[in-house]
Amino acid sequence: MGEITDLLGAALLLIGAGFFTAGSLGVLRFPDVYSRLHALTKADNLGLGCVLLGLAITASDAAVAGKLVFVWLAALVASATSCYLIGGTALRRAPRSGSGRSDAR
Amino acid sequence: MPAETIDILLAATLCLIAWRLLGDRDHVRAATLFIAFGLLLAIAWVRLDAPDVAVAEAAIGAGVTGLLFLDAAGRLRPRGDGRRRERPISGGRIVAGTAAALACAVGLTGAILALPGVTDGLRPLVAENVPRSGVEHPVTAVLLAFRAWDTLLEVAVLLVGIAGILAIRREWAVSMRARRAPDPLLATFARAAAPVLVLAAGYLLWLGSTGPGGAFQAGALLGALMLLLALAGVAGPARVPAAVQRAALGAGTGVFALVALGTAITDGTMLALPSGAAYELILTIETAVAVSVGAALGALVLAARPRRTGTAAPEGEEA
Amino acid sequence: MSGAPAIVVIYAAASVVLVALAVRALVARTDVLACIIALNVLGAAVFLLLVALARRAPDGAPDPVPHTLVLTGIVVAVSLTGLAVALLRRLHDETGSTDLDGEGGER
Repeated sequence: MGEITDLLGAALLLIGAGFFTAGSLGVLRFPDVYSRLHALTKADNLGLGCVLLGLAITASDAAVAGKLVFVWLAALVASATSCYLIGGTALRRAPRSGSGRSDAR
Repeated sequence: MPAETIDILLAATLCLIAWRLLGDRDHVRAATLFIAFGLLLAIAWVRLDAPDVAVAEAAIGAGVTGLLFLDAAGRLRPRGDGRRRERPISGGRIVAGTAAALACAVGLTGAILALPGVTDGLRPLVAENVPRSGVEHPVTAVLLAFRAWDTLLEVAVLLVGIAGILAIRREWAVSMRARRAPDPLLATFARAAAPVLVLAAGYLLWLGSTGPGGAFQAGALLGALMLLLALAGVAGPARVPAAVQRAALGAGTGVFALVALGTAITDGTMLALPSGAAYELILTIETAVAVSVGAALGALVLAARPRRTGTAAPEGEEA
Repeated sequence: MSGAPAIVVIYAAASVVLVALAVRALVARTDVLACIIALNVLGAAVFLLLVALARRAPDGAPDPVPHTLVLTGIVVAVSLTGLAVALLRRLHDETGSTDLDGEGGER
Protein backbone atom coordinates (compact mmCIF):
# COMPACT_ATOMS: atom_id res chain seq x y z
CA MET A 1 0.00 0.00 0.00
CA GLY A 2 2.80 2.35 0.90
CA GLU A 3 4.51 1.66 -2.39
CA ILE A 4 1.40 2.40 -4.40
CA THR A 5 0.91 5.78 -2.76
CA ASP A 6 4.59 6.57 -3.28
CA LEU A 7 4.31 5.66 -6.95
CA LEU A 8 1.11 7.63 -7.35
CA GLY A 9 2.69 10.60 -5.61
CA ALA A 10 5.72 10.49 -7.87
CA ALA A 11 3.51 10.21 -10.95
CA LEU A 12 1.47 13.22 -9.85
CA LEU A 13 4.64 15.22 -9.27
CA LEU A 14 5.82 14.43 -12.80
CA ILE A 15 2.43 15.33 -14.29
CA GLY A 16 2.48 18.59 -12.33
CA ALA A 17 5.95 19.36 -13.62
CA GLY A 18 4.67 18.75 -17.12
CA PHE A 19 1.86 21.26 -16.66
CA PHE A 20 4.30 23.82 -15.29
CA THR A 21 6.55 23.35 -18.30
CA ALA A 22 3.59 23.80 -20.62
CA GLY A 23 2.58 26.96 -18.79
CA SER A 24 6.08 28.43 -18.94
CA LEU A 25 6.32 27.58 -22.63
CA GLY A 26 3.06 29.38 -23.16
CA VAL A 27 4.29 32.49 -21.37
CA LEU A 28 7.35 32.55 -23.58
CA ARG A 29 5.63 31.84 -26.88
CA PHE A 30 2.20 33.41 -26.80
CA PRO A 31 1.84 36.74 -28.59
CA ASP A 32 0.00 38.95 -26.14
CA VAL A 33 -0.79 39.53 -22.49
CA TYR A 34 -4.16 37.84 -22.43
CA SER A 35 -3.12 34.51 -23.89
CA ARG A 36 -0.05 34.53 -21.67
CA LEU A 37 -2.30 35.01 -18.67
CA HIS A 38 -4.31 32.00 -19.82
CA ALA A 39 -1.20 29.86 -19.92
CA LEU A 40 0.12 31.20 -16.66
CA THR A 41 -2.94 30.88 -14.49
CA LYS A 42 -4.61 27.79 -15.90
CA ALA A 43 -1.64 25.55 -16.57
CA ASP A 44 0.43 26.63 -13.58
CA ASN A 45 -2.38 26.27 -11.09
CA LEU A 46 -3.26 22.85 -12.39
CA GLY A 47 0.40 21.92 -12.16
CA LEU A 48 0.52 23.24 -8.61
CA GLY A 49 -2.57 21.22 -7.75
CA CYS A 50 -1.02 18.02 -9.09
CA VAL A 51 2.26 18.63 -7.27
CA LEU A 52 0.52 19.38 -3.98
CA LEU A 53 -1.81 16.41 -4.38
CA GLY A 54 1.18 14.17 -4.98
CA LEU A 55 2.81 15.54 -1.84
CA ALA A 56 -0.39 15.30 0.17
CA ILE A 57 -1.00 11.62 -0.45
CA THR A 58 2.53 10.81 0.65
CA ALA A 59 2.34 13.20 3.60
CA SER A 60 3.09 11.93 7.06
CA ASP A 61 -0.24 12.90 8.59
CA ALA A 62 -3.56 14.55 7.85
CA ALA A 63 -2.53 17.93 9.28
CA VAL A 64 0.29 18.28 6.75
CA ALA A 65 -2.01 17.20 3.92
CA GLY A 66 -4.59 19.75 5.06
CA LYS A 67 -2.00 22.51 5.04
CA LEU A 68 -0.98 21.57 1.51
CA VAL A 69 -4.59 21.79 0.33
CA PHE A 70 -4.86 25.17 2.04
CA VAL A 71 -1.71 26.33 0.23
CA TRP A 72 -3.28 25.35 -3.09
CA LEU A 73 -6.48 27.24 -2.34
CA ALA A 74 -4.56 30.33 -1.26
CA ALA A 75 -2.43 30.16 -4.42
CA LEU A 76 -5.57 29.83 -6.56
CA VAL A 77 -7.20 32.89 -5.02
CA ALA A 78 -4.05 35.00 -5.19
CA SER A 79 -3.36 33.92 -8.75
CA ALA A 80 -6.90 34.69 -9.88
CA THR A 81 -6.77 38.14 -8.33
CA SER A 82 -3.36 38.88 -9.86
CA CYS A 83 -4.55 37.69 -13.26
CA TYR A 84 -7.60 39.92 -13.06
CA LEU A 85 -5.51 42.94 -12.10
CA ILE A 86 -2.93 42.37 -14.82
CA GLY A 87 -5.64 41.85 -17.40
CA GLY A 88 -7.46 44.97 -16.28
CA THR A 89 -4.32 47.07 -16.48
CA ALA A 90 -3.48 45.70 -19.92
CA LEU A 91 -7.01 46.42 -21.09
CA ARG A 92 -6.85 49.96 -19.81
CA ARG A 93 -3.55 50.66 -21.49
CA ALA A 94 -4.25 49.12 -24.89
CA PRO A 95 -7.92 48.30 -25.51
CA ARG A 96 -7.21 46.34 -28.66
CA SER A 97 -4.79 43.48 -28.33
CA GLY A 98 -2.55 42.59 -31.26
CA SER A 99 -4.40 39.45 -32.19
CA GLY A 100 -7.79 41.13 -32.01
CA ARG A 101 -8.97 38.85 -29.23
CA SER A 102 -9.91 41.58 -26.80
CA ASP A 103 -12.60 39.69 -24.95
CA ALA A 104 -10.92 40.03 -21.61
CA ARG A 105 -13.72 39.60 -19.13
CA MET B 1 21.73 10.51 -11.06
CA PRO B 2 23.12 11.84 -7.81
CA ALA B 3 20.97 13.96 -5.56
CA GLU B 4 23.27 16.91 -6.10
CA THR B 5 22.20 17.32 -9.73
CA ILE B 6 19.35 19.56 -8.68
CA ASP B 7 21.78 21.63 -6.63
CA ILE B 8 24.13 22.06 -9.57
CA LEU B 9 21.21 23.12 -11.76
CA LEU B 10 19.90 25.48 -9.10
CA ALA B 11 23.30 27.06 -8.47
CA ALA B 12 23.91 27.49 -12.20
CA THR B 13 20.46 29.06 -12.69
CA LEU B 14 21.07 31.46 -9.80
CA CYS B 15 24.32 32.62 -11.39
CA LEU B 16 22.69 32.95 -14.81
CA ILE B 17 19.78 35.02 -13.49
CA ALA B 18 22.16 37.22 -11.49
CA TRP B 19 24.30 37.79 -14.56
CA ARG B 20 21.27 38.83 -16.60
CA LEU B 21 19.71 41.03 -13.99
CA LEU B 22 22.89 42.86 -13.04
CA GLY B 23 23.53 43.92 -16.63
CA ASP B 24 19.98 44.89 -17.49
CA ARG B 25 19.31 48.53 -18.26
CA ASP B 26 15.57 48.10 -18.05
CA HIS B 27 14.94 48.47 -14.34
CA VAL B 28 11.51 46.89 -14.35
CA ARG B 29 12.93 43.76 -15.92
CA ALA B 30 15.86 43.76 -13.51
CA ALA B 31 13.48 44.07 -10.56
CA THR B 32 11.33 41.19 -11.82
CA LEU B 33 14.42 39.04 -12.34
CA PHE B 34 15.51 39.94 -8.82
CA ILE B 35 12.24 38.57 -7.43
CA ALA B 36 12.80 35.36 -9.37
CA PHE B 37 16.38 35.26 -8.07
CA GLY B 38 15.13 35.64 -4.50
CA LEU B 39 12.59 32.85 -4.87
CA LEU B 40 15.16 30.47 -6.32
CA LEU B 41 17.48 31.44 -3.49
CA ALA B 42 14.71 30.45 -1.07
CA ILE B 43 14.67 26.99 -2.68
CA ALA B 44 18.46 26.86 -2.22
CA TRP B 45 17.92 27.55 1.48
CA VAL B 46 15.53 24.63 1.66
CA ARG B 47 18.12 22.41 -0.03
CA LEU B 48 20.64 23.56 2.59
CA ASP B 49 18.27 22.66 5.45
CA ALA B 50 17.53 26.26 6.43
CA PRO B 51 13.71 26.52 6.39
CA ASP B 52 13.57 29.59 8.66
CA VAL B 53 15.86 31.48 6.31
CA ALA B 54 13.87 30.22 3.32
CA VAL B 55 10.59 31.67 4.56
CA ALA B 56 12.22 34.97 5.49
CA GLU B 57 14.00 35.18 2.14
CA ALA B 58 10.88 34.45 0.12
CA ALA B 59 8.79 37.02 1.96
CA ILE B 60 11.31 39.74 2.78
CA GLY B 61 14.30 39.18 0.53
CA ALA B 62 12.36 38.50 -2.64
CA GLY B 63 8.96 39.96 -1.82
CA VAL B 64 9.47 43.26 -0.03
CA THR B 65 12.84 44.08 -1.62
CA GLY B 66 11.51 43.19 -5.05
CA LEU B 67 8.49 45.38 -4.40
CA LEU B 68 10.75 48.28 -3.42
CA PHE B 69 12.69 47.89 -6.67
CA LEU B 70 9.60 47.54 -8.86
CA ASP B 71 8.07 50.58 -7.23
CA ALA B 72 11.23 52.62 -7.77
CA ALA B 73 11.67 51.34 -11.32
CA GLY B 74 8.14 52.29 -12.18
CA ARG B 75 8.36 55.77 -10.73
CA LEU B 76 11.81 56.92 -11.73
CA ARG B 77 10.78 57.67 -15.25
CA PRO B 78 12.65 60.28 -17.26
CA ARG B 79 11.48 63.84 -16.98
CA GLY B 80 11.29 66.11 -19.94
CA ASP B 81 13.40 65.13 -22.86
CA GLY B 82 13.99 61.54 -21.86
CA ARG B 83 17.65 61.92 -21.04
CA ARG B 84 17.16 59.07 -18.68
CA ARG B 85 19.35 56.60 -20.45
CA GLU B 86 22.19 55.57 -18.25
CA ARG B 87 25.48 56.80 -19.57
CA PRO B 88 27.15 54.23 -21.77
CA ILE B 89 29.41 52.29 -19.50
CA SER B 90 32.96 53.34 -20.15
CA GLY B 91 35.57 50.73 -20.91
CA GLY B 92 37.56 51.93 -17.94
CA ARG B 93 34.78 51.12 -15.53
CA ILE B 94 34.31 47.67 -17.03
CA VAL B 95 38.00 46.89 -16.70
CA ALA B 96 38.05 48.18 -13.14
CA GLY B 97 34.94 46.19 -12.35
CA THR B 98 36.27 42.98 -13.82
CA ALA B 99 39.57 43.42 -12.01
CA ALA B 100 37.81 44.00 -8.69
CA ALA B 101 35.54 41.03 -9.32
CA LEU B 102 38.47 38.73 -10.07
CA ALA B 103 40.34 39.94 -7.02
CA CYS B 104 37.32 39.26 -4.80
CA ALA B 105 36.77 35.85 -6.38
CA VAL B 106 40.37 34.78 -5.91
CA GLY B 107 40.54 36.09 -2.37
CA LEU B 108 37.26 34.50 -1.39
CA THR B 109 38.16 31.16 -2.93
CA GLY B 110 41.44 31.17 -1.07
CA ALA B 111 39.68 31.92 2.18
CA ILE B 112 37.11 29.18 1.62
CA LEU B 113 39.70 26.59 0.67
CA ALA B 114 41.58 27.30 3.88
CA LEU B 115 38.56 26.28 5.94
CA PRO B 116 38.12 22.73 7.24
CA GLY B 117 35.88 20.68 5.01
CA VAL B 118 34.10 18.92 7.81
CA THR B 119 33.24 20.57 11.08
CA ASP B 120 30.40 20.61 13.56
CA GLY B 121 30.69 24.33 14.10
CA LEU B 122 28.73 25.67 17.06
CA ARG B 123 26.00 23.09 16.73
CA PRO B 124 27.04 20.94 19.72
CA LEU B 125 27.32 24.00 21.94
CA VAL B 126 23.88 25.17 20.88
CA ALA B 127 22.36 21.71 21.24
CA GLU B 128 23.50 21.29 24.80
CA ASN B 129 22.18 24.71 25.82
CA VAL B 130 18.81 24.68 24.04
CA PRO B 131 16.99 23.04 26.98
CA ARG B 132 17.96 26.01 29.15
CA SER B 133 16.70 28.57 26.68
CA GLY B 134 12.96 28.13 27.15
CA VAL B 135 12.27 27.07 23.57
CA GLU B 136 12.93 23.86 21.65
CA HIS B 137 13.87 25.11 18.20
CA PRO B 138 17.62 25.79 17.92
CA VAL B 139 17.36 28.77 15.57
CA THR B 140 14.81 30.50 17.80
CA ALA B 141 16.95 29.74 20.82
CA VAL B 142 19.99 31.31 19.19
CA LEU B 143 17.96 34.25 17.92
CA LEU B 144 16.18 35.17 21.14
CA ALA B 145 18.11 33.58 23.96
CA PHE B 146 21.78 33.20 23.13
CA ARG B 147 22.23 36.07 20.66
CA ALA B 148 19.33 38.20 21.80
CA TRP B 149 21.50 41.31 21.82
CA ASP B 150 22.04 41.05 18.05
CA THR B 151 18.32 40.64 17.48
CA LEU B 152 17.54 43.67 19.63
CA LEU B 153 19.93 45.78 17.59
CA GLU B 154 18.52 44.37 14.37
CA VAL B 155 15.02 45.47 15.30
CA ALA B 156 16.43 48.86 16.24
CA VAL B 157 18.14 49.09 12.82
CA LEU B 158 14.78 48.55 11.15
CA LEU B 159 13.33 51.38 13.20
CA VAL B 160 16.26 53.67 12.39
CA GLY B 161 15.79 52.88 8.70
CA ILE B 162 12.16 53.94 8.87
CA ALA B 163 13.10 57.10 10.74
CA GLY B 164 15.64 57.86 8.02
CA ILE B 165 13.09 57.39 5.25
CA LEU B 166 10.60 59.63 6.98
CA ALA B 167 13.27 62.27 7.43
CA ILE B 168 14.27 62.19 3.77
CA ARG B 169 10.80 62.38 2.34
CA ARG B 170 9.74 65.69 0.99
CA GLU B 171 6.27 65.55 2.38
CA TRP B 172 5.82 64.58 5.96
CA ALA B 173 2.38 63.09 5.74
CA VAL B 174 1.99 59.68 4.26
CA SER B 175 -1.21 59.22 2.37
CA MET B 176 -2.32 57.09 -0.48
CA ARG B 177 -4.99 58.99 -2.27
CA ALA B 178 -5.90 56.86 -5.25
CA ARG B 179 -6.32 58.39 -8.65
CA ARG B 180 -9.33 56.25 -9.24
CA ALA B 181 -11.53 54.26 -6.92
CA PRO B 182 -9.82 51.17 -5.57
CA ASP B 183 -10.62 48.06 -7.52
CA PRO B 184 -13.51 46.25 -5.81
CA LEU B 185 -12.09 42.81 -6.44
CA LEU B 186 -8.76 43.70 -4.91
CA ALA B 187 -10.51 45.32 -1.97
CA THR B 188 -12.61 42.21 -1.41
CA PHE B 189 -9.55 40.00 -1.70
CA ALA B 190 -7.69 42.16 0.81
CA ARG B 191 -10.58 42.09 3.25
CA ALA B 192 -10.96 38.33 2.90
CA ALA B 193 -7.24 37.70 3.17
CA ALA B 194 -6.81 39.83 6.29
CA PRO B 195 -8.11 37.41 8.93
CA VAL B 196 -6.40 34.50 7.19
CA LEU B 197 -3.06 36.30 7.18
CA VAL B 198 -3.39 37.35 10.80
CA LEU B 199 -4.17 33.76 11.75
CA ALA B 200 -1.27 32.43 9.69
CA ALA B 201 1.08 35.00 11.24
CA GLY B 202 -0.01 34.04 14.73
CA TYR B 203 0.44 30.38 13.89
CA LEU B 204 3.95 30.95 12.52
CA LEU B 205 4.81 32.98 15.59
CA TRP B 206 3.64 30.28 17.98
CA LEU B 207 5.26 27.56 15.90
CA GLY B 208 8.65 29.22 16.18
CA SER B 209 9.34 27.77 19.60
CA THR B 210 9.19 24.17 18.36
CA GLY B 211 9.95 24.37 14.67
CA PRO B 212 10.85 26.72 11.84
CA GLY B 213 8.98 29.95 12.31
CA GLY B 214 9.08 32.80 14.72
CA ALA B 215 8.85 36.55 14.93
CA PHE B 216 10.38 37.59 11.61
CA GLN B 217 8.46 35.15 9.50
CA ALA B 218 5.23 36.20 11.21
CA GLY B 219 6.22 39.83 10.82
CA ALA B 220 6.77 39.28 7.10
CA LEU B 221 3.21 37.99 6.74
CA LEU B 222 1.86 40.95 8.68
CA GLY B 223 3.87 43.29 6.49
CA ALA B 224 2.42 41.66 3.37
CA LEU B 225 -1.03 42.12 4.87
CA MET B 226 -0.41 45.80 5.54
CA LEU B 227 0.82 46.37 2.00
CA LEU B 228 -2.14 44.47 0.58
CA LEU B 229 -4.60 46.56 2.56
CA ALA B 230 -2.88 49.81 1.64
CA LEU B 231 -2.52 48.99 -2.06
CA ALA B 232 -6.15 47.91 -2.20
CA GLY B 233 -7.19 51.22 -0.73
CA VAL B 234 -8.95 49.49 2.13
CA ALA B 235 -6.90 50.78 5.04
CA GLY B 236 -3.92 52.96 4.38
CA PRO B 237 -1.64 55.01 6.58
CA ALA B 238 -4.01 57.95 6.16
CA ARG B 239 -6.69 56.18 8.13
CA VAL B 240 -4.59 54.94 10.98
CA PRO B 241 -3.92 57.52 13.69
CA ALA B 242 -0.30 58.56 13.88
CA ALA B 243 -0.02 57.48 17.50
CA VAL B 244 -1.01 53.95 16.56
CA GLN B 245 1.49 53.94 13.70
CA ARG B 246 4.29 55.06 15.98
CA ALA B 247 3.30 52.57 18.65
CA ALA B 248 3.31 49.72 16.16
CA LEU B 249 6.68 50.72 14.74
CA GLY B 250 8.29 51.17 18.12
CA ALA B 251 6.72 48.24 19.96
CA GLY B 252 9.34 45.67 19.01
CA THR B 253 12.33 47.74 19.97
CA GLY B 254 10.54 49.06 23.02
CA VAL B 255 9.49 45.75 24.50
CA PHE B 256 12.84 44.19 23.70
CA ALA B 257 14.69 47.08 25.33
CA LEU B 258 12.42 46.93 28.37
CA VAL B 259 13.21 43.26 28.84
CA ALA B 260 16.89 44.02 28.42
CA LEU B 261 16.76 46.74 31.04
CA GLY B 262 14.72 44.56 33.35
CA THR B 263 17.15 41.68 33.18
CA ALA B 264 20.06 44.08 33.55
CA ILE B 265 18.57 45.37 36.79
CA THR B 266 17.55 42.04 38.28
CA ASP B 267 20.32 39.87 36.98
CA GLY B 268 23.20 42.17 36.28
CA THR B 269 23.52 40.96 32.68
CA MET B 270 21.35 42.33 29.89
CA LEU B 271 19.00 39.81 28.33
CA ALA B 272 19.97 36.99 30.67
CA LEU B 273 16.48 35.54 30.70
CA PRO B 274 15.50 33.84 33.96
CA SER B 275 15.00 30.14 33.25
CA GLY B 276 11.58 30.01 34.85
CA ALA B 277 10.02 32.70 32.71
CA ALA B 278 12.20 32.40 29.61
CA TYR B 279 9.52 30.99 27.29
CA GLU B 280 6.93 33.59 28.27
CA LEU B 281 9.40 36.43 27.91
CA ILE B 282 10.54 35.15 24.53
CA LEU B 283 6.96 34.87 23.33
CA THR B 284 6.19 38.40 24.49
CA ILE B 285 9.25 39.79 22.77
CA GLU B 286 8.48 37.83 19.63
CA THR B 287 4.91 39.11 19.46
CA ALA B 288 6.02 42.71 19.81
CA VAL B 289 8.79 42.17 17.26
CA ALA B 290 6.39 40.57 14.79
CA VAL B 291 4.01 43.53 15.01
CA SER B 292 6.88 45.97 14.59
CA VAL B 293 8.45 44.10 11.70
CA GLY B 294 5.08 44.01 9.95
CA ALA B 295 4.52 47.72 10.49
CA ALA B 296 8.09 48.51 9.46
CA LEU B 297 7.98 46.47 6.25
CA GLY B 298 4.76 48.21 5.32
CA ALA B 299 6.22 51.59 6.15
CA LEU B 300 9.40 50.88 4.17
CA VAL B 301 7.40 50.62 0.99
CA LEU B 302 4.59 53.06 1.70
CA ALA B 303 6.55 55.86 3.32
CA ALA B 304 8.75 56.28 0.29
CA ARG B 305 5.77 56.98 -1.93
CA PRO B 306 5.17 60.64 -2.72
CA ARG B 307 1.90 62.08 -1.63
CA ARG B 308 0.36 63.56 -4.71
CA THR B 309 0.91 60.80 -7.22
CA GLY B 310 -1.82 58.22 -7.38
CA THR B 311 -1.32 54.56 -6.82
CA ALA B 312 0.46 52.46 -9.37
CA ALA B 313 -1.42 49.43 -10.66
CA PRO B 314 -1.86 47.46 -7.48
CA GLU B 315 -0.17 44.09 -7.45
CA GLY B 316 -1.52 41.07 -5.70
CA GLU B 317 1.11 40.47 -3.08
CA GLU B 318 1.68 36.81 -2.34
CA ALA B 319 -0.65 35.69 0.42
CA MET C 1 38.29 22.17 2.14
CA SER C 2 38.77 18.49 1.63
CA GLY C 3 36.03 16.07 2.41
CA ALA C 4 33.30 18.69 2.40
CA PRO C 5 29.87 17.48 1.36
CA ALA C 6 29.16 18.09 -2.34
CA ILE C 7 26.24 20.38 -1.61
CA VAL C 8 28.50 22.72 0.38
CA VAL C 9 31.04 22.93 -2.45
CA ILE C 10 28.37 23.60 -5.06
CA TYR C 11 26.74 26.48 -3.24
CA ALA C 12 30.03 27.92 -2.01
CA ALA C 13 31.26 28.00 -5.59
CA ALA C 14 28.02 29.66 -6.68
CA SER C 15 28.42 32.29 -3.99
CA VAL C 16 31.93 33.14 -5.22
CA VAL C 17 30.57 33.59 -8.76
CA LEU C 18 27.73 35.73 -7.44
CA VAL C 19 30.12 37.90 -5.44
CA ALA C 20 32.25 38.44 -8.54
CA LEU C 21 29.23 39.33 -10.70
CA ALA C 22 27.85 41.70 -8.09
CA VAL C 23 31.16 43.47 -7.47
CA ARG C 24 31.66 43.93 -11.19
CA ALA C 25 28.21 45.46 -11.56
CA LEU C 26 28.71 47.64 -8.50
CA VAL C 27 31.91 49.13 -9.92
CA ALA C 28 30.89 49.35 -13.56
CA ARG C 29 27.29 50.60 -13.47
CA THR C 30 26.61 54.27 -13.00
CA ASP C 31 22.90 54.12 -12.32
CA VAL C 32 22.04 54.27 -8.64
CA LEU C 33 19.20 51.75 -8.72
CA ALA C 34 21.44 49.28 -10.54
CA CYS C 35 24.02 49.72 -7.79
CA ILE C 36 21.43 49.14 -5.07
CA ILE C 37 20.32 45.96 -6.81
CA ALA C 38 23.95 44.85 -7.13
CA LEU C 39 24.45 45.50 -3.42
CA ASN C 40 21.51 43.23 -2.64
CA VAL C 41 22.84 40.47 -4.88
CA LEU C 42 26.20 40.81 -3.10
CA GLY C 43 24.42 40.41 0.24
CA ALA C 44 22.55 37.37 -1.02
CA ALA C 45 25.83 35.83 -2.19
CA VAL C 46 27.38 36.27 1.26
CA PHE C 47 24.30 34.74 2.89
CA LEU C 48 24.54 31.79 0.52
CA LEU C 49 28.15 31.25 1.53
CA LEU C 50 27.31 31.42 5.25
CA VAL C 51 24.45 28.95 5.05
CA ALA C 52 26.44 26.61 2.80
CA LEU C 53 29.32 26.60 5.26
CA ALA C 54 26.85 25.83 8.04
CA ARG C 55 26.22 22.43 6.58
CA ARG C 56 29.66 20.88 6.93
CA ALA C 57 28.82 18.58 9.81
CA PRO C 58 29.50 14.90 9.07
CA ASP C 59 25.94 13.85 9.89
CA GLY C 60 24.35 16.53 7.73
CA ALA C 61 22.64 18.48 10.50
CA PRO C 62 23.09 22.22 10.02
CA ASP C 63 24.69 24.66 12.42
CA PRO C 64 21.94 27.06 13.54
CA VAL C 65 24.16 30.06 14.34
CA PRO C 66 24.90 31.05 10.70
CA HIS C 67 21.19 30.64 9.97
CA THR C 68 20.47 33.21 12.64
CA LEU C 69 23.12 35.54 11.25
CA VAL C 70 21.58 35.30 7.78
CA LEU C 71 18.07 35.85 9.13
CA THR C 72 19.28 39.02 10.82
CA GLY C 73 21.14 39.95 7.67
CA ILE C 74 18.04 39.68 5.50
CA VAL C 75 16.12 42.08 7.73
CA VAL C 76 19.01 44.54 7.89
CA ALA C 77 19.42 44.32 4.11
CA VAL C 78 15.82 45.26 3.52
CA SER C 79 16.12 48.25 5.87
CA LEU C 80 19.23 49.31 4.00
CA THR C 81 17.50 48.91 0.65
CA GLY C 82 14.47 50.86 1.79
CA LEU C 83 16.61 53.76 2.96
CA ALA C 84 18.73 53.65 -0.21
CA VAL C 85 15.67 53.71 -2.45
CA ALA C 86 14.25 56.64 -0.45
CA LEU C 87 17.54 58.51 -0.92
CA LEU C 88 17.42 57.73 -4.64
CA ARG C 89 13.88 59.08 -4.88
CA ARG C 90 14.91 62.26 -3.14
CA LEU C 91 17.87 62.60 -5.50
CA HIS C 92 15.54 62.17 -8.44
CA ASP C 93 13.09 64.66 -6.96
CA GLU C 94 15.78 67.28 -6.48
CA THR C 95 17.89 66.86 -9.61
CA GLY C 96 15.94 64.74 -12.07
CA SER C 97 18.90 62.42 -12.39
CA THR C 98 19.39 58.88 -11.18
CA ASP C 99 23.06 58.79 -11.92
CA LEU C 100 25.83 58.24 -9.39
CA ASP C 101 27.63 61.39 -10.42
CA GLY C 102 24.49 63.38 -10.87
CA GLU C 103 24.73 63.59 -14.63
CA GLY C 104 21.75 63.64 -16.93
CA GLY C 105 19.67 65.70 -14.55
CA GLU C 106 17.79 68.85 -15.30
CA ARG C 107 19.44 71.09 -12.74
